Amino acid sequence: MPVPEPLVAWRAIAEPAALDAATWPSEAVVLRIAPDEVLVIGEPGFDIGDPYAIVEPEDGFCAVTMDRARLEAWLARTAEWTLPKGDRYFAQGSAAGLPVKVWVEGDRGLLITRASLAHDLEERL
Amino acid sequence: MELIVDGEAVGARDGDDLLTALVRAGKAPAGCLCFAGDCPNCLAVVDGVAYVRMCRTPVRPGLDIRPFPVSEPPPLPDAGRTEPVPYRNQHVDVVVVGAGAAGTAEAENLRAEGRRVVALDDQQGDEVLAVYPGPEVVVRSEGEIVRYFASEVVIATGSMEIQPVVPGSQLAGILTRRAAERLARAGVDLGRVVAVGTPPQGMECDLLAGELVRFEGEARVAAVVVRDESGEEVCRECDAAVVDLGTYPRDVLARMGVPGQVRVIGSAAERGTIPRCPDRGVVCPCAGVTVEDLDSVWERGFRELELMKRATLAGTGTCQGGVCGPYLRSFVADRGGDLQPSFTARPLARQMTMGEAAAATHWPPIHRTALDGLHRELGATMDRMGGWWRPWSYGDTEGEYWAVRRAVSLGDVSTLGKILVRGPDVVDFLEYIYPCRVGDLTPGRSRYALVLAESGGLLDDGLISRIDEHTFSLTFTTGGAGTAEAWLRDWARGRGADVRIMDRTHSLGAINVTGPQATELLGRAGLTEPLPFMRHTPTTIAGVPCRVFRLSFTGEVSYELHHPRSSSVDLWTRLMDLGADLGVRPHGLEALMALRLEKGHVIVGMDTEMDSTPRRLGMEWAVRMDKDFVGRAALARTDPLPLDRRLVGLTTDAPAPTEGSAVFLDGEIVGYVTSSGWSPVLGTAVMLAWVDLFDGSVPPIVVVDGRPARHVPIPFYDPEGARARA
Repeated sequence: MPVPEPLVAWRAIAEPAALDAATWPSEAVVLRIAPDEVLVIGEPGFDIGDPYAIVEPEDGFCAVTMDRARLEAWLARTAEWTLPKGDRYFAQGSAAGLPVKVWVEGDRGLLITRASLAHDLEERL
Repeated sequence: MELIVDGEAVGARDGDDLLTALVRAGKAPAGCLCFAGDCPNCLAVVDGVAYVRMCRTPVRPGLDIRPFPVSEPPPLPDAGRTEPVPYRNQHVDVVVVGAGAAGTAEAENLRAEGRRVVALDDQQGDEVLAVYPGPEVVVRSEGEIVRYFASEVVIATGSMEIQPVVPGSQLAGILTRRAAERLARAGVDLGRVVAVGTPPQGMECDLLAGELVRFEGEARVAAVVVRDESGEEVCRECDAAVVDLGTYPRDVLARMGVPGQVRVIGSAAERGTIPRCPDRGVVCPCAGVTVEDLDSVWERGFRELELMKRATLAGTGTCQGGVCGPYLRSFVADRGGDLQPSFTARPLARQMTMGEAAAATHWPPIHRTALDGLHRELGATMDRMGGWWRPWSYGDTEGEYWAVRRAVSLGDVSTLGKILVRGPDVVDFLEYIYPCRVGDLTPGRSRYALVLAESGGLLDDGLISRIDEHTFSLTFTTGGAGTAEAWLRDWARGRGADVRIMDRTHSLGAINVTGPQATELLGRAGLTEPLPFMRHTPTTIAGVPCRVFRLSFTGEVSYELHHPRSSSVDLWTRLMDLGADLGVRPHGLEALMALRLEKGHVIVGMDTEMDSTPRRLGMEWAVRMDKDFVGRAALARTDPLPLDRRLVGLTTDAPAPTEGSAVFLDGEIVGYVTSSGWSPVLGTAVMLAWVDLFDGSVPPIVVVDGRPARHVPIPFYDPEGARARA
């Protein structure tokens, strides 16, 4: 069974328009988890044009990297929502009773939840 | 093959269902059998699972079957079933329930339109248990529970045969026409058969024309009586009776669904036969409701179908109205003149086991701090508090308590709500959120603050700390953390405040270093500059970047170290190493509860109620009425009223009374205890309690747990707060 690992990330909260216009490192995975919030997986080095933006290193998530087919099969079984279509997508909601975020690109998928729920995720995978 | 029926071996043929096998063996259960899953007359405990319909269950060698009548509870299984029932969710466009002619045609049409269709039929092993709004269809399928999420549900469940409601209809040996035809195809010999109505195909029988009056016999039917056209009763002896009384839509799932989400087609959508109102007999075999029972509630004024259902419980049992539904409508129409619609159907349409009910559900997850594993390694008794696993005790609560009062101790307070707020409007915004002054806090300073609801009652409490001109760090209680962000965001949106709000509760760990030696320990760990009470600073402690807050919940010198969650274990371990010679040890919540009680600190939700205003709590000092804030209007309106009760401190001898104990004065209850415990340092039991006021005063002596309890000021311990500020 895959084991959740701490996710090295940054989180930023800013004006939605500023996030829309922000530039991000090309190698970073930028997940727009709310209109005014992004979770950036990777190193910092982004510029948000909001002088009051809150940008903090984020230790509060863990993640499991897994084969896309396996991830989608697990989500299809445990989530009450329909997965987006396409080669690359981000989705979030409840699966197996846990709040999860899903990042899929190509044949790989990333399943993210709160670090405080890593034990529950491992049990429910 | 052989089945075990009530402990005896019974032969069965391949392809039989359990009920066919029993009838073939001369063990037909009582009541009219439909062989379609509509009636409640062929129930059994099968391999330990109760309420299994034998007519829907294929035979398998060695099955252990214990039939039971619907009027009695099933025998308890010998052993519980503990293995989890598997489940899966499936997303489709359309669920078609029923694979008869109408259902099959509809499924084919929908597939031709390119829609993803799943067709379900219990004859093919998919037993639909319920239709929920969504729509969501819950199905028992080959040992697992499947939840289908669709955009539409098509109900094509056909029709069911109307059961007889006449005296003797609960005898064994009575069948509906379709049931008899099924048995004929299975080669079951029923002996002399008398048929009322259209006779079954493939079976020799004696046709008896007329209106069914009753069945006669002891346990098994021996004769059928009808009334012919001349009004005369005609009796015919038999070994089995077959009745055809018309059909009725099998629409329980259709009535369960939300209009617009569920479409009904075929016979399930037809009006069906409304049978003649019965004169006598059992209308609802599940609840044992007779025609006389219906008349009784009708006479008492229950004139609507829904009310009759509630008054008699007819329609609420195993078959969910499969037998009684048409007759209830017929009865009401006969007595009242109107044919009322069928009563509302609600899940479930079929019985399910506790394991099946639990299959698609999960325990609400309980959060774990980064130190959770370490607490468990230390032997802590963990408990669920505010949605988190927290160490209640490490096995020596008194030792943990004294470590705080005499030396130094670590506590895991990572669960506290931690929120950053920044923006040009941040001061005005927080001035409105909190009843205390905010704008006069300079960077590096903190203030204890109440959070009030619009009603003026205490919602939460915590610390406000100013980071810089436009940034504040806020803390909330563990229990309040989950809603704090939404509370702030709602008010920010409502007031148009230009602020950014980030919940850091799950991102940051927090360790409370508390006790007379706390300053010494943190000095060793890197806090080289003294940090005055209610100040905070960013610094590095034992190699870990922290923001250190000087405060106190225990009554001793305390520092709260907020740090990246990923560093919690390192920080904790290094502090334990650095403080070994100081006697450092961790303390759990049990010790913390005693420590805070001695200081009279309230636990929101434990010591407070929804109407606990600052005045009732004796915390007017935390409110500035010369500004506007959430709850101010309510406080302004109620402040002129005489104070009716207060949260006060009480002391008594050992042992400490139970929390929740009533407070008595002259034999009358005048309040109750919210927190209670033995104070090791004071040598007395201390309590927080709500007590009514008399002439504006708290009675000096009350009675708790049959003993006198003295009203004393709070805090009980170190009332000047000198130890916390040292």
